[in-house]
Amino acid sequence: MDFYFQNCKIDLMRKFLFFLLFFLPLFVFAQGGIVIPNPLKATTVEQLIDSLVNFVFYLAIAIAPLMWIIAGFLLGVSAGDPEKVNRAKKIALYTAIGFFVVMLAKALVSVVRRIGA
Amino acid sequence: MAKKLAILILLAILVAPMAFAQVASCKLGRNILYGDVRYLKGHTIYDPETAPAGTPDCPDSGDTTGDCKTKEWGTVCLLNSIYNVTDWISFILLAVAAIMIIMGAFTLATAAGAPEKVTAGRNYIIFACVGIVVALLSRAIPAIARRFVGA
Repeated sequence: MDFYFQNCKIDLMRKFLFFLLFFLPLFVFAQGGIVIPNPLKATTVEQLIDSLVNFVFYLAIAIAPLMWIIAGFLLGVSAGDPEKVNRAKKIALYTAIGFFVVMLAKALVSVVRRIGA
Repeated sequence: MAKKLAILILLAILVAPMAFAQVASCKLGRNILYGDVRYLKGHTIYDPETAPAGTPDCPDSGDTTGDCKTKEWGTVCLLNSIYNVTDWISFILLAVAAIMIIMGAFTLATAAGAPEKVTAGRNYIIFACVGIVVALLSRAIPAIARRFVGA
């Protein structure tokens, strides 16, 4: 019984804490004093998506050659072993596919913009 | 024992730069095109918050003219490190390919006409060359991508 009451107490405290966490900001905002500055450079969703895609695009431009070189390396040390050659070919193929998809994503942004405009 | 040593060395490699790199920056090993700006090789790009006093801002478009600070330093430095890795791996690839070609030549020379040995030696050389060609092709990827997308 004692244990139960103790648990109950903890539960109550937890509920009160949650209440504080979720509703205190509301009261604070109701006073109308606090404004959170936008931490992003983008001000619209479109700009945000555009900059994200841009970042991924430039990252892909750097990583695709790296993966391609690794494929070349594996090909170079395979010495004709079909299994190893296959692995290198697969790396090159999937690098190409992934890179193509990234470029498509960049194109998609402009397509959507044209449809929306 | 060896495992502990490896972990220690890894920690040293990882932690040492963090402990000493108070100024967030990187010196570029290659020209890096990001957005409208071309960050030129040899210039140091700083984080605006920790840059030494008097460091100029990077231009909004065109080439950088020297050491400068920009908000994009994180991305630029990330790209720079990836390019560094790429350069090192391509260097290692060339060295290994040379060794593979020599091995192939050795196998050919000591084959004494045995068909399977001749094939093995030929394969060594052929695949070393193919590896080099693939690595060289990768140099063209950024240019192709930019032409394709128009960035």
